[in-house]
Amino acid sequence: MGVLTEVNWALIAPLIVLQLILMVFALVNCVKQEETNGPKWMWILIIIFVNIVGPVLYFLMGRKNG
Amino acid sequence: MRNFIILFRKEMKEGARSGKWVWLPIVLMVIGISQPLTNFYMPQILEMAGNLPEGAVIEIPMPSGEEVLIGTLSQYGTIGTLLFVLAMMNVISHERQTGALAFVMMRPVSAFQYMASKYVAQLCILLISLAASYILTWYYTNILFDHVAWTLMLASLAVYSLWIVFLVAVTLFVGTLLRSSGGIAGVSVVFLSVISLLTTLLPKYMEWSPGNLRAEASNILLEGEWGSSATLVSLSTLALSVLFLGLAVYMFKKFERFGE
Repeated sequence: MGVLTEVNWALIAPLIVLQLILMVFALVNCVKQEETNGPKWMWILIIIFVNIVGPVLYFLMGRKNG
Repeated sequence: MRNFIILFRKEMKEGARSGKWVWLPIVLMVIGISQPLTNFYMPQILEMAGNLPEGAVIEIPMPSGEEVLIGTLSQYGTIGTLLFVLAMMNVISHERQTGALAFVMMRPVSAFQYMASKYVAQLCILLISLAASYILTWYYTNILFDHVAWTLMLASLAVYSLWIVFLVAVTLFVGTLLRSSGGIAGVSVVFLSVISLLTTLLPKYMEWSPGNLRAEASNILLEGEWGSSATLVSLSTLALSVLFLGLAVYMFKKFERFGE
């Protein structure tokens, strides 16, 4: 566990914040959507559990209207 | 000109509505700053991930700031290119499928105005995302590694941006040829990778190739000067982009006349 405390979290924090923003933005967008390509709950799971790639996949393929 | 501005605004709105203005910059920024961070923490990552034998010593030389930026450029060249093409694949095909295209073209709008508005709008999104990501990466590199002059950073960014200029023209052109988004993305990516591959395989005959742009940008970072080959590559890339855009307008007119 010594390694984890060595890491300077101030450096990593922006990376995590960016990913969180992306995830939340995709989630809000997905929930607001009337219909998605495929079941909505599946997209929500993908957005939450697949890091970065999940939200991108949702924006590229999940939205009905492009 | 007024038509162009109206269409351009429409494209911008479309970009905001589809969330492209948010996800593309964020994903690029994540890709960008991952590079200096993984470079910086490489010893710790190896220690955690690898089950090295007891007492193994690995000396990893600390890369210079310039080398980190070059690594970032190569990330943009692979994952970035794929993302850019995917982000733009349904710019035309989507409007074609929904029939919105017919509505637009019923107005007195020329094919050139239509394509130009798409081209400029997409270019805006991609270039602003790329610049934001690259500048953030540069900031990180300055903190973690040694200082890279901002002039060098901007010069390499400018040269690399030409790759995007070329990429958007190619993808729009393919977009006028094919109907399915997947096909458009596939053909564009294959075409762009073939160009990059040929450039590395036949360096003698491909001096003009846009595939050299990344090498030129790296060169600027390392040597700190603008080589004569950079001028050649930049000019030929611009010429090729104009050519592809012209072809796109031509093909667009064609399928417009025959009603798809």
